[in-house]
Amino acid sequence: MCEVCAVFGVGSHWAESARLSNLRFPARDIQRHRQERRRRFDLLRALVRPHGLDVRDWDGEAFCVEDAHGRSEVVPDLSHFWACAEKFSGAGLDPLDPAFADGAAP
Amino acid sequence: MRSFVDPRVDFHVLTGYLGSGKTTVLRHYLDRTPADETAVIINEYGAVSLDHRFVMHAAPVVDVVAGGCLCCAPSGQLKDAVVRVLVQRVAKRLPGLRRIVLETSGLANPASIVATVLDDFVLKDYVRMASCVAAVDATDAIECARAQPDILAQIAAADRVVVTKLDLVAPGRAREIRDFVASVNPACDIVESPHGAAVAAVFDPVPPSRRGPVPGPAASHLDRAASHTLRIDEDIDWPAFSVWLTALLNRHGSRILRFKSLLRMAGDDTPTAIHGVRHRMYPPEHLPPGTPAPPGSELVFITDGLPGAEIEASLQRFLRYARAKAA
Repeated sequence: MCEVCAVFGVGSHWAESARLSNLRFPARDIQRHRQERRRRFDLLRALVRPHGLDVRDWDGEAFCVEDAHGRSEVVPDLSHFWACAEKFSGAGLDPLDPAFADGAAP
Repeated sequence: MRSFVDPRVDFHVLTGYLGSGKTTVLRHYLDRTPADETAVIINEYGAVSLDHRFVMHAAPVVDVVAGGCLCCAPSGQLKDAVVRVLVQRVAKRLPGLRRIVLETSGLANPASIVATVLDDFVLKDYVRMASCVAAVDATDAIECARAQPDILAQIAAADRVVVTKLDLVAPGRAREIRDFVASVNPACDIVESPHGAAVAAVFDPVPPSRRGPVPGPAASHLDRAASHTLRIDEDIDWPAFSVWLTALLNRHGSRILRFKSLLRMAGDDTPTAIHGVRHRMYPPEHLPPGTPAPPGSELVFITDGLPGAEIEASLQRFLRYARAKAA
């Protein structure tokens, strides 16, 4: 989050970088970025749940990955998220595998 | 609305295999542009640098990083060299400075150099990764590429390819080289050099929507680099797309030599250009208002042995899944 303008969900990672379409009235963009971030978490949670993991938004800022053993790790962005999820689950999470989203209920 | 002027200096990476004519291209460029606009950093693989002697009178700052290849030496030498230029700029000794050009060693893989600039917390506020330009030798690039996959990685990572030494080849060869470059990287701009005005524009901005990918001959003579173009008609669901692409790069980034796309996103009036080299993505660029909206989204993957059809099927599957989940 940028602390000056309080735009949540806008980070330095490419997937979350965003431009304000209107500098004087940023409310619409802020809402949109927050909605996108929430949707990203919904998708991730559904994808890793079959592997015994959960992921939470850590203060609009980072990703908190947890497993059933109580281990947890906070990672800064989506790229680190996948590496962490693979480490915790011991599984390769490969989108080219037709079963990638199979266990994840729509 | 206030218009935003980017205060950063443009950073260009000039690649090309050993002897492909990088220094010549740079020298011609410096001859044809105002002398104080360009600072040059040269990386030589050998411990003693010669190249800089050919360009040192043409540019205000020529810095040499010798004794190793920047892309494999995590020693911060590249950062140090860029900082040395920036310090002079801050001290107002380089008032006309518009760009920094890094001439890489012929062996460099541009991906890690791009990553150094984009990832560094200091550099990214002062320099803008502007373009990656590859010099390709018309006399022997096609033949060399068979033995040296580095050449393919350099072409794949390029925004613009400069074909050099055309004066040394038969007339039909120019066409052959163009087809070869387009078959490796259908999304890059191809210019011929070193004659004429093309060289003065070699570091000009490369428009992301410059032209549609060329349906070049299937890269049958190349086992190591194949390009695949995908078209998606419906608006891109950005959260779903970013989840999918990060997962793909996490698993297969080392085999994705280049990814380039122009996406039409749900909720945006203008298209967004997103591209990357291996694991590293450039920050997305929203095209200026008034840019005509493309009929759909276009994505180009240049991969090293990763079947394009599988990538396409995977993306379609995931976007379908995300749509069903949102419904």
